[in-house]
Amino acid sequence: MSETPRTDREGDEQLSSLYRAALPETPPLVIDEAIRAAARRAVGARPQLAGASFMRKWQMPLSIAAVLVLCVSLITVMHDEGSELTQVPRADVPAPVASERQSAANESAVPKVELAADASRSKNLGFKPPAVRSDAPASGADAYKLVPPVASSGIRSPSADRLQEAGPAAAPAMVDMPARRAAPSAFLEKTEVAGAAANVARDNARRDAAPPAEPAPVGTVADARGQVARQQAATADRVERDAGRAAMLEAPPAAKPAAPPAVMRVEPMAQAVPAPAPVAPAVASAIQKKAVPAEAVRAPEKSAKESADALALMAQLPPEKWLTRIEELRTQGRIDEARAGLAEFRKRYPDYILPPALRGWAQP
Amino acid sequence: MPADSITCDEELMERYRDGDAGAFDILYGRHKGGVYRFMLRQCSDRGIAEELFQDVWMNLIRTRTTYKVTAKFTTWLYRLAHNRLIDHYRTRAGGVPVSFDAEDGPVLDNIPAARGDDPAVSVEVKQQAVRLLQLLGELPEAQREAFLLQQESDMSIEDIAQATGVNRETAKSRLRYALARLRAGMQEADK
Repeated sequence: MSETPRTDREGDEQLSSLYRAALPETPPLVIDEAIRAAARRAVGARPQLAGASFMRKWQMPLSIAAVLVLCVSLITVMHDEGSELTQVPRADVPAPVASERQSAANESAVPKVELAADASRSKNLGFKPPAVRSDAPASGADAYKLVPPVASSGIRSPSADRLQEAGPAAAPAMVDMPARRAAPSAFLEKTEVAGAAANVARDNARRDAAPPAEPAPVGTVADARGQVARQQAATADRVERDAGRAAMLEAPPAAKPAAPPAVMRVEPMAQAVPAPAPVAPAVASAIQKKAVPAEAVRAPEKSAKESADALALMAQLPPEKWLTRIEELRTQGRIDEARAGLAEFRKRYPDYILPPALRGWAQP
Repeated sequence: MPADSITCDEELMERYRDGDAGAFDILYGRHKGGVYRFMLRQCSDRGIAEELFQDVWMNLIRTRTTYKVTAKFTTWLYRLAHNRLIDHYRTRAGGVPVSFDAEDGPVLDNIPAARGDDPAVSVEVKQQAVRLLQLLGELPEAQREAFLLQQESDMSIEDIAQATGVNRETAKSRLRYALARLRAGMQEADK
């Protein structure tokens, strides 16, 4: 037997083509699936879900697209909110009254500028929502001083009061603080506490200062005390500003409804506090050198700061602990702080029933 | 590396052995038709053919851990199919067909030459294909197996010999005998 070239392959093209022309029979799908499942089970692989290959193919692009969409959305939202925050209220356009709460929050977050009427108001530690004065000066380019708000009687909503009383004329007097409007409620709480502390310090300082009506005699210690008091007031303002800044940083975008806001009115200091009596520079410097030691200047400032801190701390306490703290201060002889704390407490919780001891003591 | 159509069968089998279920899917997709038709032509009963087909692949799955690349994957696969088929023959009443044991007869030297003309009409081709399948069913099992292995998995004589466990000459004679019988049957049909 000799092998022909054809025998190596031994194929017959015609037979092969005919064979392949027959119906290409394939195994049933049930057997297919059973065998594939057995193969996967054997290697511990999970069954392949329908569309798994599609998901595998598009998983990464879809994830990237989703992240991009999310980022763009966030940036857009932040940009919109940022532009809202930086928008300066126009003097000729009154605030929209679409949402009373929003308006109230915005207004309460903005400090108002107001002329100080008299020095006696400075002793008022009230933190009730103030009425916005429509007679606020249009220009506030002078030196300003912070004046505590006028206590309003009644239990009406502060925002309602302001909405009734505030007019377009008040707008120019507003000092725009955009970040405060971002989170009004939380900011107000912080500001209220800080404002209370600053007011206590300021009150102390003004008590120490020479009465405006009585010009300090030249060459006396009173003049020096006036300077010290002004330093204290400046320190108190600084404390308030810092606290306000911290509140802006910490305030969440959506905070709970705020307690009555602390709105500070600022008025030109030239009208509120008379300038100290003119003193010859040489005499004044001599008096300063002689009569005011450094410790004496720093001590009241320190005590004012301490009392402001103490009040701020108390304001963060729950009502029961706050009252307990007031009792402690009273028993320790720190009457001013106790009174300030109690006044603040009553402003914050006007309906709270005081314990008998404090009830009698709190009566003016 | 993703399993694709370029990857050879042996590499896919090694990957499946190492735990890649996707490699098995590719292998199965490539060879399920050939093995199924191999079993279907060797068994008259479709149900038995499906059972044997399933057994072959299950056996492959079980023995995957012992797989080593010593030959072509198709040779190993059809060796499994051949063994399962012999087991099937042994269990049936007639036993293993004589054609698997006896030496083949003398190789026919007068094999009719293949016709060079292509079928003009597809209907005629279909009819010839049906006739071919009938002739294939009339072949002895061993020759039919050799022809099927060549047609379904494109095996050479050496591969057929290795897959069926015979020497090269036996495989060659079986294949030539099968071709001769099929050509003769097709010529008779043309007359």
